[in-house]
Amino acid sequence: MKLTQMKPFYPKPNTISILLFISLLQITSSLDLIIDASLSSANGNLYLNLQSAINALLTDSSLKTTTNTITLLPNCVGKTQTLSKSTTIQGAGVESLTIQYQSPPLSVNDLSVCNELPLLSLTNNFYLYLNNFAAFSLVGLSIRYRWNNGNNYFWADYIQTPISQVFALT
Amino acid sequence: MTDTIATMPSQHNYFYFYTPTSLSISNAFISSDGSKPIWIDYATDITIASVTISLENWLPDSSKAVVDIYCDSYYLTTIATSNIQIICDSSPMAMSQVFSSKKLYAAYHSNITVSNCDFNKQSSSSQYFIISTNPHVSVFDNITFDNVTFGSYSSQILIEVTGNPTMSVSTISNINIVCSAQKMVMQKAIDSNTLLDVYYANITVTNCDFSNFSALSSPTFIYASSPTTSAIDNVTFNNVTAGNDTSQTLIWATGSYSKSVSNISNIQITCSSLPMAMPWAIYTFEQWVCIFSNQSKNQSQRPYRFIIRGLRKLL
Repeated sequence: MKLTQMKPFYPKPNTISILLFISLLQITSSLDLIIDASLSSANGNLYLNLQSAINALLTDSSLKTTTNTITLLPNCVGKTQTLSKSTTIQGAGVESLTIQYQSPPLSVNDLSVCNELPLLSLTNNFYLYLNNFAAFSLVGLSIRYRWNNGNNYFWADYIQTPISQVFALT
Repeated sequence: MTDTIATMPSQHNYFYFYTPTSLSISNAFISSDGSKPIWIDYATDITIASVTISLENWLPDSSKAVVDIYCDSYYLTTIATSNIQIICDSSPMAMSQVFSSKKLYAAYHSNITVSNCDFNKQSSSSQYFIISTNPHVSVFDNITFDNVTFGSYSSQILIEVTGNPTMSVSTISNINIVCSAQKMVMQKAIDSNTLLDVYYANITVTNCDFSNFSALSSPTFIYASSPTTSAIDNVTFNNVTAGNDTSQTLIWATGSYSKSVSNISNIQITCSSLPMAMPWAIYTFEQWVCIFSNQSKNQSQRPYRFIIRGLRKLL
């Protein structure tokens, strides 16, 4: 086919609007999930535990949306969150992920305060691996490594602005 | 709370960040036994502020720091730590490594308090409580060690900076060391090695009893080795007891004949009333120019000695 025979594509105004709307949706899309330990089953954006909330953010291991927030309610305190498998969360360099406690104290300067935070225990040889985000925030969580079985690690590659505050690492 | 394990596992756990642009850790509590470092590679800006670090059952064979910042080659990393409180288990443990940084642009450590730590246990590896290796710039300011026992084993150093003689500049200021009541072997507390410029200022050492027998060679408390220029200003030793090892030196400043300039001023030494051998107060070696001023000692105490070797010019 000769180039001169090609007709240039001029989208109609309606098509432009639709395309703009779709790309805007992609840019600003967000998921805001809540972990409520009192639930007996997941309901809407409410989930029973961290693993199920993380799973809901993902298609395979990739984040579905740009802005991702998981909030743990105060009824999660005293109930240990664990991973049921090694978990990879893959971004494309533009996403953010926040895992936060709804009612964090101002600071954690004592081991006793750890008991007032939701606990994530990395155990059973399962790891949490994050790759290629614009931002990652961890607020108001207590994270415990358990040596017993080996590869219980947290690994963050290519996260531009990781922020961890009001948290405990024990 | 940390799991109790006796030796460093072959594959340890970690909290790992690779190539973050801006990493911040604040208002946090970190408990560590040496097997679970926060490990940061090739970062640009690292801020660690208002953090309590609890050292528990530190593994004697751990070579990892609580916060370990590492680059294989030079990287434009800046780390700033401030308002850090470090507490320890009540039982003796090997000296922990808390902050370790290698091959970065700048390390700023300020407002750090270390209290009630007994590092009277042997380690199989060199232990530097805070170490910066090959930085362009390093600043250690307002760091207090209160009721701390250390130095019974070789290579237990509180502050260590090792650099490059063509570019590394370091300031070590407002350091307050209060020893515990235990007798200790004199060992380097503050050590700088092969820097371009180093500046020590406002260092106070109180209640240190170095009268345990030392088999270490050239035991020295404050050490500045081979910088091009060094200034050691306003250093006070209060109520110190030296041991029977007459090679003990409170301040040691060496240079290299052709270029080193050392300015040592306002050194005050008050010994305890215990009998002791005479230590070297200040030992300088291979300086091109050395300036001494305002040295004093409490008169009722033992005499102390200066040695100046290989000096080309004394002002």
